[in-house]
Amino acid sequence: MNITLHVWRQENAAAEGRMVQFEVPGINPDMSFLEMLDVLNERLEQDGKETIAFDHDCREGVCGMCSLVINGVPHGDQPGTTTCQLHMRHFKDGDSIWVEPWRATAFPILRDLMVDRAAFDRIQHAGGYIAVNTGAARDANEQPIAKGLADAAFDAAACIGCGACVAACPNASAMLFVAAKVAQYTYLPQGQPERARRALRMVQQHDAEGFGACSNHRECEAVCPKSISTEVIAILNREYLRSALLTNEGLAEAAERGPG
Amino acid sequence: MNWFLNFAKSSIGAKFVMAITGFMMIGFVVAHMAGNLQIFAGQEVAEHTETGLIAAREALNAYGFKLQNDLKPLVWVLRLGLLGAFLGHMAGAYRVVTLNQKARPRGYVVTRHQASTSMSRYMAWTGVVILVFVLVHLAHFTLGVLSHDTYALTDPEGRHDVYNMVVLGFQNKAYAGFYIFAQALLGLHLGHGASSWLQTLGIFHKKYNPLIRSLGGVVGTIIFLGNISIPLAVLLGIVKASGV
Ligand code: HEM
Ligand code: SF4
Ligand code: FES
Repeated sequence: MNITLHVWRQENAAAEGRMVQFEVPGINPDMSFLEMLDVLNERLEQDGKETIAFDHDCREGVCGMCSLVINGVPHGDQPGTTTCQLHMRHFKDGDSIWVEPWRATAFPILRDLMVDRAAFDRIQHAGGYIAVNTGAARDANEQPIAKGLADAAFDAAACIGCGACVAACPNASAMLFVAAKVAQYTYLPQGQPERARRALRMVQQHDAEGFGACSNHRECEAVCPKSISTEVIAILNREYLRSALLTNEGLAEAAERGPG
Repeated sequence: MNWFLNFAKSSIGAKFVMAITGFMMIGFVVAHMAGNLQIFAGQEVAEHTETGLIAAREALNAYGFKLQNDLKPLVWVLRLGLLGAFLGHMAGAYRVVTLNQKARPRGYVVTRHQASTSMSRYMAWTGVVILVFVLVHLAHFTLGVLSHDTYALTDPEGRHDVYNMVVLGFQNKAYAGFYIFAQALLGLHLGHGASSWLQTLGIFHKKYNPLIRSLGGVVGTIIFLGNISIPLAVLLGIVKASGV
């Protein structure tokens, strides 16, 4: 199949970018979107031109590295898929496809379609962890967890940190990401010691990074490749209210320090 | 108070303030509408009896008199609460809108919305029109700045003639049109807002979600239809001036 691509090209973080048009003939419909870009890049390289920079790693929908807003939808308009899992057969021969980077102040563009998502790491460091004693690993089933709770925690933990939620949100809010990371611990006993202040710390970092607020547009859950529900945002809101309005600082610290 | 300011300035805290104040204002709007619909209370009598045109204004004027006299202290408490809610909601809106604009100063070349509605995306615009409307409305019917003559009317009992002030006010097509337009935007504001505020407060449950999500349409439509019925009835000549 033959397609026309309009791709955001930008030299570096400080440069002005623009959309550039490429004709890409002879594409196999069974290729993934990223493989199609690989083909284009090979041809650009053969012609001695700059290749298009884009993020990717696992290419099987688990790492969260691939991005791209494709025709106005993060990861393209197939529900529950990453860009590496999006196949060219979902497009028609002769289609024009617009490809843009995630757009958010907190995700500065590094080059072309690559953005810096380190803001997510800093949010995680602010509170997306539990304390575990070092030494020999504890037995996995030492602490039984009810199946329903384990499932709910697992659904939230499916988040791969790709940032599609931010890209789709009209406010560039990262609530779905933060909420998934808070919810996965809220359900589990292992998450309780830090619970009193986790949401507060993570939301403070979220705001400091320059992400927007949640207007309940629900664009995020529509594009999340892991189909994470905005239910987790309600959980985050509850946890944040509890954290910001009801926490007893002394008790919270004691809980985090643990016995001894 | 420092902890509260920090909370209210945060992305979730500002929305929490908006949800609580938005709910308070919905309560007010519903009560306000119910009170005003008493304009229709005497209409049947008006059609059939000779003194009917006097009777038509009885219910509304008596209600207005009661609010202004017997219930005055309560009315002032509610007014202050409402003012607080209004200011809080505006402060929250300002905070949220600035955060959101800073979060994405440059948009996409192509955008295709998957789930949001025009109602949810234009909340700030519908909100600003509501603000202008509230100011005009206060100047018009509450303070009488825009309607000196009709504001000064009294009925034979010597009460402020609310009924005729409203009817004569809406016989002005420009005012009636602006009221109807503003109520349409309030309906759209609530079309998203009344569905959204419970999620902001952290209330999400598969059992209740269909109900919660339908609140916007139901509340928005009721308030829109209920409120426009008054200017519309005056424009159509269904509700007429009484005794003047
Ligand atoms: C001064 C005029 C007003 C302005 C500027 C305004 C502005 C806004 C904005 C920008 C939002 C969206 C916030 C967001 O989710 O990003 C909002 C939400 C809302 N507004 Fe207003 N508004 C005004 C008046 C009103 C009135 C009169 C009512 C009720 C009768 C109301 C009820 C609500 C509700 C229920 C929400 C939803 C809150 C939530 O999502 O949690 N607003 N308003
Ligand atoms: S919540 Fe979904 S869209 Fe957002 S980062 Fe996680 S996986 Fe990606
Ligand atoms: S490359 Fe890993 S999820 Fe797409």
